[in-house]
Amino acid sequence: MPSDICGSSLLLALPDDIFPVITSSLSPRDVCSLGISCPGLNDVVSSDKVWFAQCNKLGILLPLSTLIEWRKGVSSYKALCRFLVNIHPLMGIWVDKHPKFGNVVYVMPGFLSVVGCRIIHEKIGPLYLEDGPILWRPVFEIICKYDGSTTFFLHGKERGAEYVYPGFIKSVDRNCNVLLLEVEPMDQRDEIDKDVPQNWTERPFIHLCSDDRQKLL
Amino acid sequence: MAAETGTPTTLTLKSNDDELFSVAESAAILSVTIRNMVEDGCAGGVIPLDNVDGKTLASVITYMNGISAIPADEEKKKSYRDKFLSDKDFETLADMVLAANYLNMSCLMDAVSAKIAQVMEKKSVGWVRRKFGIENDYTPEEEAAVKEEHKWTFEGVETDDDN
Repeated sequence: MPSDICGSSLLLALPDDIFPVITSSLSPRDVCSLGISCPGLNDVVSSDKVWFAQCNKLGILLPLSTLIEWRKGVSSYKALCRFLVNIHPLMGIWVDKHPKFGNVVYVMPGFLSVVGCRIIHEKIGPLYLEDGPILWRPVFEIICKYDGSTTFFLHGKERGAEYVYPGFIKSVDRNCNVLLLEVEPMDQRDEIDKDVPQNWTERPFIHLCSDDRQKLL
Repeated sequence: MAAETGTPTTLTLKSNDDELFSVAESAAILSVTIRNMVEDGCAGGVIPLDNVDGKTLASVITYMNGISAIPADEEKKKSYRDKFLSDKDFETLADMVLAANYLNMSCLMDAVSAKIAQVMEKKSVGWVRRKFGIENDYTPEEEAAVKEEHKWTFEGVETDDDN
């Protein structure tokens, strides 16, 4: 449809403050398609204003003030958006596939990170919340690096002391409803690493799914 | 003002190509820019709008009249806006978003921006280049680097257009 072609100058002529408004109803992917099409547009859509709007749209669980705080620890709002897009599907409550185990993991924002906490239900007395505060223990933390990529740490305990163990995220599907934690023994590593599996041998695989949340909680 | 005296006040707007338009003040003050001029008492003569051409201004005035005739019913206003924008080509939309920005008309600005975004939604890089007649002046290395940098946005999403 050659008659329908309009020059890129038309887009480039739009003032800086209009792009964030237009792109706020687009997905990060759409914004990037514009940027990849030519260097001129890439400059325009790489602005912090455009990506702040993107973060704001995604970060439903984060107040604006948090976004502004987190921005200080990353190279740009684009980097922050990359992190948020990645961890977004994980946020919220996950329950064990087998309700009889009663495991509940709550994934919530930390600082430039998200933390998965297990509610220690074994310690909840017959009076539930009226008995006292919920006890919880961090299970994992996903930290945002300067460029928006992620680092994964598993929390554990050894001889009474708290440890964190480095790990990695394989992938996060946008529509995922199963959270899978795997710990593999690493024989070639030093003692600390070898001890990791022992913390988890009872349940080396934890399947939690978010469907039927309401039914179970 | 108009409401108090009972006679509707008419304003004269002048586009940057010297076309004159008469419009009811009650409709024109949808533009915060124009409202401020009216409040500052600058509306006695002709209001010059240096950043809007006659064709676009005519369109904006049609919108002003149309939307201000609808009583406070957000549903009806929305369907008017959708209908108003449905037959506009991209070039017109780009002119209108500039005009809406200059005139500080947030309702029109949001509607036109959303319409422009709709055109760009879920399109491939190839489509964007074809549609906007963009010449790809990246070197192959630069293009590969930009693609790599944005790889994270392309995971698990399908486009409407294959290339």
